[in-house]
Amino acid sequence: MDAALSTLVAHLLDGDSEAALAQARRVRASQPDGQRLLVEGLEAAMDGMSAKCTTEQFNLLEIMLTGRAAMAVAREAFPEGAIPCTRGTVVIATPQGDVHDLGKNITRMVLTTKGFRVVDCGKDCPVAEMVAAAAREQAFAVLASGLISPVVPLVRQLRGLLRERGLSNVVVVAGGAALKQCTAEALNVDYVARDAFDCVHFLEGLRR
Amino acid sequence: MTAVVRARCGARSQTIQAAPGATLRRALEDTDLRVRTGCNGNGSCGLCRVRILSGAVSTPTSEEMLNLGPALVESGLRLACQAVPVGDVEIEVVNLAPASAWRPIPPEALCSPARPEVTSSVGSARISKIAVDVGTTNLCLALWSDEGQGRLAARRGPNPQSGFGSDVVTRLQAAHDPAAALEQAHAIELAVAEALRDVTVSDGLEVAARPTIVAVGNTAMLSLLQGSQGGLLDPETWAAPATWLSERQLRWHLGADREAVVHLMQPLGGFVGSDLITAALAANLLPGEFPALLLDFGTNTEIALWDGEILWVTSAAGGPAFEGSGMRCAVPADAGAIYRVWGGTPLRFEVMGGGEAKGVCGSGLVDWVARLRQAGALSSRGNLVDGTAEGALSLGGKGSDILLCKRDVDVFQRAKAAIGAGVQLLVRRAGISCQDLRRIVTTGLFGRSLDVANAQAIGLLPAIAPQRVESYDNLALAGCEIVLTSADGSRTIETLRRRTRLLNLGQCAEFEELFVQSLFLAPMGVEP
Repeated sequence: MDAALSTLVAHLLDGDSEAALAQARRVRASQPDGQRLLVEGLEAAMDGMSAKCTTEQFNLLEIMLTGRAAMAVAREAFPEGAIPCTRGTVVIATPQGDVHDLGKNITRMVLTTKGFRVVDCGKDCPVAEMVAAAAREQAFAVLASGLISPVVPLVRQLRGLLRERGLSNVVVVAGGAALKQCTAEALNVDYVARDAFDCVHFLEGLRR
Repeated sequence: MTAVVRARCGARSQTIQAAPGATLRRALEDTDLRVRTGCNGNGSCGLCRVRILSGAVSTPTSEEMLNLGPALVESGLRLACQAVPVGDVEIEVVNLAPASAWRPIPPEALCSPARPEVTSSVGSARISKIAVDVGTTNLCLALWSDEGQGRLAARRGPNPQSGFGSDVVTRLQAAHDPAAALEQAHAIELAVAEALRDVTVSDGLEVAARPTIVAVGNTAMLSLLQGSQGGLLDPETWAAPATWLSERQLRWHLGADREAVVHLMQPLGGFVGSDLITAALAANLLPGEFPALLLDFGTNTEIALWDGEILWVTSAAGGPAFEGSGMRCAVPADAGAIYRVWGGTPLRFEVMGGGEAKGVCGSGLVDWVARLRQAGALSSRGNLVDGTAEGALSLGGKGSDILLCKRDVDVFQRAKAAIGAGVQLLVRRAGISCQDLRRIVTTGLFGRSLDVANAQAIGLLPAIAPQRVESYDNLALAGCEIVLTSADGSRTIETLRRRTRLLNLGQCAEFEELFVQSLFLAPMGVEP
């Protein structure tokens, strides 16, 4: 990686939006290739953050700051909103009965900067709406993030509803405080992610 | 000056710091070596016998001479309710009270701006009115006589519903099953009966055949007291006035031929309970200076802001970090907990009960984090600047297993940030800034142990002049007592209710921005 991109990654890991934006402009001035900025800048920063976020070293503030800085760079580098989608489309939501969507928002930021197209259905979202979005947007995965336990029975319905619409091939991933206490079998999902980075690793594995 | 009391009974022993002027009975109250009494500590029953093994205590009183006689007093026997240590002492508890999960609440812990005087009474009387604060973790009771003798006793004990889950959502979910819902309601009834038995045995008090109970609590607890989950798991109810609570009175059986009429006080709405409104009453929020902020700290911290016109209220689910859960070094505020940390290198600390440190409780964590920030050992983002090889900082010197690692700091930051975001949202809705606050009142889990300057330095409290910040132990119960014993209290509650406006943090667009800003270990509203 060249020095300018290394500096950008360092600013992103620092969560310094202002410095990261300034550096991203310098990178774009000398290297107009947006793909390099995405892969060697934003994705590399997210990989760095993922490596830092072990169970013992997890820090929500650092993740939020890096995520926000990366999103700021992505928005400016791709002003039309078309951040290159290299890894496919996913649908994400916090299911009905839960309005705590911080975890969902973090996952959306990490996925976006890792090259996924993320369709965000918001919080307190009926599961039927998540399934409809998956059909409409041709998503390969549906992600459910829930902090509190009332969402558990709703998440269990997702696979069945997808199957009814002929979307048996769509992968279902669950995450968040309430859901990660359950097994994938108990939730009737393909995978239960420990955190946003674990979710990304699982989805990346599917798209290789 | 505090005196060290070394108490023993058979193979058991305990070391306690006795407050200046406190009797031996009082010093033993918060331990497993409580003495039995039959007169609520006025020296007339002669049951609370202890033997002075070494050290000096106050001169024998006439009650001791009457109940023990000169020969026994000469041999070292004394009444714990009369004898006051005048230095460090070693004693043997001769007449031990039966083991109980219930602990007395000292009278000064129920003082409030609305009732600043200590309203305890000593002597035998009949309990006929009971104020109950139903907390998620603890139940607190204040027991009053009908005969103008004021408060006779107060008790704190564990909420037995914890078997259904330590958090309210898990308990509410369990209550979907009608049998489990009734079981949770019944558990509280049994616990109150047990507390009354403890008072009867330990303090020699009688309970009237038909006592009156007023109960306050968070919305979930009140719902469960009725034997239902009250639709509280539906987000539509979270920002709505609480209209689901039945006006009907409950009847609790509290032992042989004893039945209490129970009045549940309506919550404010959403997850903001009636405990916040009685706390506002006891804090004199309405007649006092405004803008005034009230924080009732807990797993679910309830916050009220009085701006002179509207009482803005919300609840912030910060989690149980301050209550001794989710961090390896954290313990509840009980004997063995470090509750205050100060000094430089090495840090110094105080332990509840004066014995060996088992961990750090909420107020100690606030102090510790603030001192580490001040010393530059912890960054405002929560990174340990100078950790040990294990990546953790220790309290208590080399070899101490009281450790703070980055993950623990993260849990602490989240708990603090939920509260900080809640405060800032209320302040914004009222159209003021934190600096405009004329008064801050804190109550709940930190009690009076919270160091205001440290809490302000890390952003747990708005940074206004420290003399404008007041801390109390249990304003919710103190306010419940006022409602129980005065008609004015109920009128003020209705006024407060009419002026209340509820905010649900999860449905406020600015919550995430304020939450992230509040994750910094820095004064409130300041992003380093």
